[in-house]
Amino acid sequence: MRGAALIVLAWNQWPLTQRCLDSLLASARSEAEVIVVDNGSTDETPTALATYAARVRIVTLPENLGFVRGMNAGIAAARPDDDVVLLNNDLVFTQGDWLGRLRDAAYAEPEHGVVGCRLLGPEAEGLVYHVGGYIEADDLHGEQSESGYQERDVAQYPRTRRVQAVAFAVAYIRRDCLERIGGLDPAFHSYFEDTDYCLRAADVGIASLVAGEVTLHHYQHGSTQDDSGFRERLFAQSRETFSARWRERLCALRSAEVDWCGTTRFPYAEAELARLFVRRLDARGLRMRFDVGVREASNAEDRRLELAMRRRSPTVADAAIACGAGTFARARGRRRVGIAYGEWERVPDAWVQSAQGLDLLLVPDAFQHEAFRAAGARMPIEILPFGVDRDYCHAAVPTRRHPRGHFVFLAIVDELARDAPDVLVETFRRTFRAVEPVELLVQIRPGRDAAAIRAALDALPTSASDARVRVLDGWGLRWHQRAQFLCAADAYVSVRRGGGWDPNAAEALACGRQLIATDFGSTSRLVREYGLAVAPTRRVESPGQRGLWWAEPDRDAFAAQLRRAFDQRTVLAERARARADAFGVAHDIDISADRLVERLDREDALAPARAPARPHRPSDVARKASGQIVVLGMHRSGTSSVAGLLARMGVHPGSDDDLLIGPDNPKGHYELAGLHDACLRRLDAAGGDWKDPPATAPARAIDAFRSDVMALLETLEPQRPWLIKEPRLCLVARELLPLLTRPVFVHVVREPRAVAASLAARDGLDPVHALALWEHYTRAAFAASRGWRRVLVDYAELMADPLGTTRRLFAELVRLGVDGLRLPADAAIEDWLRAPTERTRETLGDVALEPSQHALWAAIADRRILDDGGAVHATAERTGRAG
Amino acid sequence: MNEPDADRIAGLARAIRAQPRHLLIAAARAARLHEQGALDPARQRAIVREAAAGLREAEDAAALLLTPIASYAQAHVADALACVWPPDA
Repeated sequence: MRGAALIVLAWNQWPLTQRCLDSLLASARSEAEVIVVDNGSTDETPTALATYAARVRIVTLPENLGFVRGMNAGIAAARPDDDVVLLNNDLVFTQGDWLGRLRDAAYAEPEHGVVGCRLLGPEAEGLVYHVGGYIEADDLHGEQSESGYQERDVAQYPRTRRVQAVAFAVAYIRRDCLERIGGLDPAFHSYFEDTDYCLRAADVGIASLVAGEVTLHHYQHGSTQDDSGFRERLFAQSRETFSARWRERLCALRSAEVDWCGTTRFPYAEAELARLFVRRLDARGLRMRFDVGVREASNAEDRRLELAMRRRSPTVADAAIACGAGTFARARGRRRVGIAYGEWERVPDAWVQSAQGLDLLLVPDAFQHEAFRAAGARMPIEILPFGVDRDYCHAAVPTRRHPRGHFVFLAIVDELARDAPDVLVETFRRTFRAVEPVELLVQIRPGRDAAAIRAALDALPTSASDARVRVLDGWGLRWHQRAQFLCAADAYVSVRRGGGWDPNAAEALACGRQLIATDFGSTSRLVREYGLAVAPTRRVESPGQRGLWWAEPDRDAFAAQLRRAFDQRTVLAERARARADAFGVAHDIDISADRLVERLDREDALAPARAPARPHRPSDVARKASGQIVVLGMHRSGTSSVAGLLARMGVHPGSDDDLLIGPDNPKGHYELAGLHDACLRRLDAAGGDWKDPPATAPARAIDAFRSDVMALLETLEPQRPWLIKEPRLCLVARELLPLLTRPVFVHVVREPRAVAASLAARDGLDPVHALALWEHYTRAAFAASRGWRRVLVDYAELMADPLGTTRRLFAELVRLGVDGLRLPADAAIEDWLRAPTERTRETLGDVALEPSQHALWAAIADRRILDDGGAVHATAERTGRAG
Repeated sequence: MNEPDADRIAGLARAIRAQPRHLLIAAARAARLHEQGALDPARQRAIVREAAAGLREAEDAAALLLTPIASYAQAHVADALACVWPPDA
């Protein structure tokens, strides 16, 4: 059975290697083979390694050939069909299921090929060394994270995501990827070989990813720390090689020069937009230049932003994005796009004047759209929701909580008149008493109003019976840790007078915190839908801004919502946590960035995009099928008939003693009892069953399922070609992909109303439920086999033309390279398929298909579903629980 | 800085066609050289010339000088929370 070769490259530094191996062997599963490549060590490594010989395979090289050729020697030593996992010897495996999760990511889509993981350094505070990297043509400095900095671990990037490159300290490489592009390029000795590999993979449509569920520890440069001069020389040589191959191509990927006019500091919300968007636009192929209008003490903590600040060009930008009304006049570009929001019902006249030269104004919501129109703005205005950064803001961010478990309200303020901190504190004190387990934490952010805010708060009357208010003044906090701050509290309070965009409000919701906010302005829709809204009591004129009106929050309403948030804290907290992820998905900043790029494209600001490489398919690899056949089909679709037919072609279904026979299919299911049981356990472990399929599964359920099935497949392997068949495999076939070698999927389909009628007759299912199940199973099955070799058999065609359909199936399997088949005699085919079951007599009554079911069946009927384009499958990923 | 000081710096800046913040940097550099005993008239004139040229580095340094330290010397949230909530909070 196919597994994975875990290749550890060692060169001296035996204590590191020993620690690595001990932790690796403690976590390695039985299907994995550990191969240690001793790259010509001269210390005690060879001798010490020999003591591990019973548990690892040792490949000894005569001298140090460098990382690339050492790893290539390990790849060459791996079993021919195994995937490989490249591992440095300075790793520590602190997560038991790391391999299973890397496999999940590797096989989640057919075009996936290279998977890395989160890597932490050895520091006590937990620094993130790698979370997926990129390289900019400007400086060819390979960054190891989106920010380019070693941030503290705040559980950033928890999801699997595509990246330009992964560090080959840990790299899971699928066998079909290796077969497509080969091993590492020996033009590199060490360094840059990983980025080169990922870019070569991308050239043929193979994606590189980081599995955010996996975190390992990497004592970086442990293997070469003996000689830092040597390392620097290697680095310089490899960089030169990389530059010669890729620099021009990386430059050519740029579709436009785009200026971002804005700030990284004040106002905070505009600075946040720069941090959120500049790196994302740059990563999307726009060469971003950052025009800071006033000199700023840079604290970008973002290499892309800093690079954008350093970029200078005499050419006029293809587009200029001016973020904030104060920057509109600075925007110089062929197309001029503004991004702005105000605090009032209508924005200042001066803003409209300065915006007149813009080709387009983007605002975050309908309130801002109306505020510009109310001031007389006539330029095109569109809504671009700004979104939240799900990579940093989510409910699982680790943080410090109140030591005695008090309920904590958090407010972050930086403008005295707008943020009404005095109203906030006064109302809080009026609402709660000191004896209650509740606190208000107010952060006064550094800035122009900091002293005034502090003075206003100090002037408020206090008494010993007041509930505790803590003020954090004079602290500037690191941006990447902002979710830690929000997660330290139970509720975020944004009871402002101003109606501008408050990024903290959406971020708090994405972090699973309660939101209490004024029902006014840009936060209004959010708080109405997800939080506790505080009604404004009256319109008030903004001080120093004649004729500009905002809203005074109603203090009694505010007090009532504070009280409600506290009194119902258990229920509300659970609700907030439960919807955090869905909120993040619906308000994802990456969707906003995509929309912004699309919008610039519609303005003709971008060069025509280069056609991306066609996504890789495992079936692209020119090797014939191995003789492993997986029969997929919904219950009551004729899978038993087809499996029996395959058995008559010489395909081994398992020994008779291991096959199920049941009353609903007296001629035999051709279904392994052990596989059936494994599928039942898998669905049950995820909280569902065949009639109520679970949308997700805990990792341990997937690992246990793989382990169960692997043992079964071991019994089949000596008798290829073999088949496995179980209707529930439609739901879980993807999880078996790492175990299979160039399989063929045989999809058995039947008209959905016939399936539903049969299910109604056999199981008493409601027809609507039965049809929904058919759709769910069918979409999941075709999604799992997308990109792999597959064949479709229509049960109705088989019954109408048994001989012709059987011959076509046989011919197709032979064409795909399945050896050992024989075409059954006509009499044998007819005998097997004669007098099928009562299925043909079953009727459904007057139930119509849903449009999505119609579309799915149409794609099956004309075989479009086999096209691998993905469009037909797209809705499958969004289909949750069926029925 | 009191009002007369501010006026004096503004006047000096106008005289050399520089920004007041450039002068602050020039003064800081001159003070450092003076401490080291290295401030001769030629160096002093060079410092003033550089201040008047409005070098990007001088601008950045002035921005840093005039900015509250907490807004660029950023702290870890864990440290801030430990300060807010000591174990006996």
